[in-house]
Amino acid sequence: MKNKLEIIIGFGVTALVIFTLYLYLFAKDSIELFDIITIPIVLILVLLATYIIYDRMKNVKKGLPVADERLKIISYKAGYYGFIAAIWSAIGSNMASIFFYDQDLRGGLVVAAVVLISGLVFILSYFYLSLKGKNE
Amino acid sequence: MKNILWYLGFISILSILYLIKNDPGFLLFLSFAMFFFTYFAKTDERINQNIGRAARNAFIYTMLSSTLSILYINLTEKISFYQWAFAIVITGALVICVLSFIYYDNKGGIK
Repeated sequence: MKNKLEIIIGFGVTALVIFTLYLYLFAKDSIELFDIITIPIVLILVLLATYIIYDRMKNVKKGLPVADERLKIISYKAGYYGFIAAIWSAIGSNMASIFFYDQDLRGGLVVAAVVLISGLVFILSYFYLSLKGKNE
Repeated sequence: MKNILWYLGFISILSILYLIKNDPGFLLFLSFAMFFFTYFAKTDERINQNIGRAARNAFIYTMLSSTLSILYINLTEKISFYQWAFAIVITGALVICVLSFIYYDNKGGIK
């Protein structure tokens, strides 16, 4: 039951991300450069997250646990890197904007940058560690 | 797991901006200096895993709170809420990371 609940929550979060992107884009009058960059990144995140959920769903169908000990450690490590990326992107995105474009980022863009950068770091770390089979 | 938490300590350097901008808000960055102490911390397998779990919880909180903030602001069109959203996301993530670690550390075990 717990395993199925984890998968349902995974699908729920993925749907929430797609819905948020939909609202974000359709609430705007015009599409900016940032939006054009954002869309492919979010789509990559959603596709990779869906693959992870699908992979775990196969385990449940086989009667295996959703994640073994190695995958748990990998998710801890990927979350750890994602957290570090979130803190640095929150501080660094605005600093970079001031440095390169001499203007502050709007609040919404900072929050969006945090989600995108930390999400990307998490997913890439997860895949890298999974493929490499390294968990130390 | 390699300890990279201590790198967060470098954010405290931003408190120097207080001298330039004269805004006391920048002094809050000094609190990040505490992360430098994690460099000297003696770690073992259990502590490493607990750090990983605590950071993972903080990461999940960051993703959820950021997404919900964007959703709320788009639905209500309260653009001024963004500065609060930023504070809620970052402060909340740090608090959750620390509290989670204390919880797992006191609970013992790595399951």
